[in-house]
Amino acid sequence: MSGGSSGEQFVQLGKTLSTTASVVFGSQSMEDTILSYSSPYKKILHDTITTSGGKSSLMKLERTGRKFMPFGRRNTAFQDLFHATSGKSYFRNGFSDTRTSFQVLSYLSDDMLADVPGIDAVSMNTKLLKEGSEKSRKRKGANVHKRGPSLFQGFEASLPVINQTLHNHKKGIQGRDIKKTTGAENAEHEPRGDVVSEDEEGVYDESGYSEEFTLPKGVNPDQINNSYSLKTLRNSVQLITDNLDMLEIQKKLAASEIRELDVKMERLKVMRDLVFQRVAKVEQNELFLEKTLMAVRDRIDMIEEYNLDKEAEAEDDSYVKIDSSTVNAEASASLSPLPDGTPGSGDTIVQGELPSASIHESRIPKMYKQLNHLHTNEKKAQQHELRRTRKTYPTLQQYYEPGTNITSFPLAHEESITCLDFNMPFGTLCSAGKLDPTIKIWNLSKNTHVGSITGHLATVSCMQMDQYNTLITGGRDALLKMWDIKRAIDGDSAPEDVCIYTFDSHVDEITALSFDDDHLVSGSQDRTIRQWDLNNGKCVQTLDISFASGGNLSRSIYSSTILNPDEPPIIGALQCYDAALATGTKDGVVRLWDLRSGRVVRTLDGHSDAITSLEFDSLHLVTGSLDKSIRIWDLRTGALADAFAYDHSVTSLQFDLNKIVAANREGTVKIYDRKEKKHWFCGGDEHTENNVEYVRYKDGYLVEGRANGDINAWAI
Amino acid sequence: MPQINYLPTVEDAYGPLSDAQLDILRQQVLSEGGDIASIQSRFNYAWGLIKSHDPENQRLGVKLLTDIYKESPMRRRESLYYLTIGCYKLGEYSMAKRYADALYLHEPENSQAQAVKAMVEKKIQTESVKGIALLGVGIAALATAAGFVLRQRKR
Repeated sequence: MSGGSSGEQFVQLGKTLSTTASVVFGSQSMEDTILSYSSPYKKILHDTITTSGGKSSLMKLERTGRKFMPFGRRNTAFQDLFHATSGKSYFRNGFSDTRTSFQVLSYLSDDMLADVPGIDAVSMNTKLLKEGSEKSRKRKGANVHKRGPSLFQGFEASLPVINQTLHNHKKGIQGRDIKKTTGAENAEHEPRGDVVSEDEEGVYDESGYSEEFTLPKGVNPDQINNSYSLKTLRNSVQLITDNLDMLEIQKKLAASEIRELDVKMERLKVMRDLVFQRVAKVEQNELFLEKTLMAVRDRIDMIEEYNLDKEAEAEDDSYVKIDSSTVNAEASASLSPLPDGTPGSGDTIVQGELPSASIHESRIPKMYKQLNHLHTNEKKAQQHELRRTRKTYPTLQQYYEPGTNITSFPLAHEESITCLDFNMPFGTLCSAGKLDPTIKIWNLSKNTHVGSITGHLATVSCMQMDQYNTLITGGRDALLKMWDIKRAIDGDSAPEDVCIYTFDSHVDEITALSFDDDHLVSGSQDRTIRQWDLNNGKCVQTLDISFASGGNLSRSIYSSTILNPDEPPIIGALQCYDAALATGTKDGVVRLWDLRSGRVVRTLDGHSDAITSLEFDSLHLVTGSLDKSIRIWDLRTGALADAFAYDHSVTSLQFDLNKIVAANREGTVKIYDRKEKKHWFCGGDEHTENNVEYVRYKDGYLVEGRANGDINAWAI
Repeated sequence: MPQINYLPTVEDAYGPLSDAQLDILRQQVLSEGGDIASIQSRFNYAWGLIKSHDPENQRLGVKLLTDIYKESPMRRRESLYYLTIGCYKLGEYSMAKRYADALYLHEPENSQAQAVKAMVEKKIQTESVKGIALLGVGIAALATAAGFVLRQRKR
């Protein structure tokens, strides 16, 4: 009796002690936590307090403070799974011992401990309980099926896989050794009834089972086939069933992992959408501001031109004063309406600042309005071109999935689209259709029809836009017209104001045109190519191409396209850049001209039918032809760099460094990825009757016009 | 091959894996991006670490488990159990007690939760008894020494 009571007392004592101990322990760990939780400063403090050395704490602080410097290099103060090969290196840092930092890092706040979701509390309860009671029972499938397997089960199930990989890895080298350790390991926590793998080759079967999969150890196909012992067979059944269960767990694991990934992907997708919306919003805002900026600059131009500046007392003859006053006007005008940081005088900065700006510099239009005031002095012209440089450039199309339809204008024209062009992605689009002299203007960011241009007398057959608001068109009426799109959109100016200038010298249909900063080059059915000066509107040069006629070219001279609409034009395509001009003609020959001498400097033979489209950059020239092929020429050597053919005649193409985009009168736009050397197509049904007639492409933004008048924009 | 229990017993936490096995588990976590690896991979590595003999590794294991606890609310119940066992093995009985208490709070009916709580408490008890015994011995020794000194002085 006394022994019993003393025992009880002992237990009592122990209990009280344990509580006090736990309090002490707890407070100690709490103290650690509080002192050095999350803040490096606190860690230093903690360090100083716990290891009270002979040095003054101030010195110590200084010393540890210096350790802050090489954070990036030495990795002393933060934990990184990638660099830590073991637990020791993971927790080691400059401030405290591993145990303390462990306690700090793996501290869970009381709130967090209390916050255990109780959604499936009941099922979990029963499951844990059941698990306990079921330990004795053989079947356990039911509760595993109810909810995914536990993490521990996942661990146990993945162990055999690991062993298998290890086994496969080192089979040749030291297979025996590893085998033994893993075998012993397995035996330790998964005790088997039998001896561990007496004969490895016995597990691999000779009787037609797959080599890849193995039976559980202890099950031997030969034995199964030959054995008459029920006990052995039942044992085998048990082993195989167990193995199946384990595989089931592995399957569940993989499934839950997939679910986890799906959820993650879903979340990421939502995030991407949000960010995408943000980019779209910002670009809309940019467009709006650019437009305002443009308007302000136009006003400045106007004031300058007519000397209406109130602050300037000087007359025409003193240029210096005018210049200084215009600078003032510019600064004040651009600052007041645009308070949110679009510096109007930052034009010069723009050039260096934006990488994209360099692209546009090459295409700065000088001719804008210059036809009206032909005597602009050099300085003014320079100012002008700087002012015309866009500060921002749309990039939203890059973030679409390649092949996504960005926008559509169904039945934009009543008949087939003959040509279209746009100034920039999400900018302004101009289009023309057959049997319709009207040019329609579309806003690509708002997806609306914003205006129409009338003035041509017949179908418009070719057009080109610059980055801003200038459009030059050529039509079957043998006229070339230069338009100010902005006036057409505003709609308050008279139709004759919209047309800035008419180039009227050709005597037959214009089939191709191209312009750069100073010059316009046009090709016509009258067998001439004319070069125009955009600054004064004069025809500078006329190139006669009938001398170059060979083969079918001479025959087709008299067959007008009016009589035979499907007859390809004599000059299918041309492009000029500075003094270089490339033409593609009906005889299938590409000619490179020097505009200074007016002579052909090189001819590229290869196409067997009329050339319909052509474009070059600094390295390559790409041509599309009715012979269904696209050829890529090396401009330096004049040799063929690449060529490929489609099923139908190529009618239109454009390219940049990444992609060649072509229309070939099929239901889809053909795209050739130059980097990956891959062909694909984009847009709609391959077998539709509604063929793509014309494409334009800029910076991953593609616009195509179709035979029924549809216009679609795609991201590629 | 035996059935795999839903939750491990304490014995499961002993019996280390081979270095090669551990390394595979680690590589798995790293290949999935370290801290953003899937819960299961990280648990595998953590549990492998806890099973090892090296307390530093066990600490990293427990740390990873706390990460899992923080990240995956649905796994918290389980994680508490693993954490208890991990801390228990590591000798961090105060932490083990915290986790065991939390687990017991949410699963008062659960036999395994009860078992692990009892286990931890028992351990703390014996530890403190040991401490008391040690303290007692110390006091006794001190007393003896003092008495001895006093006696020496008296004479």
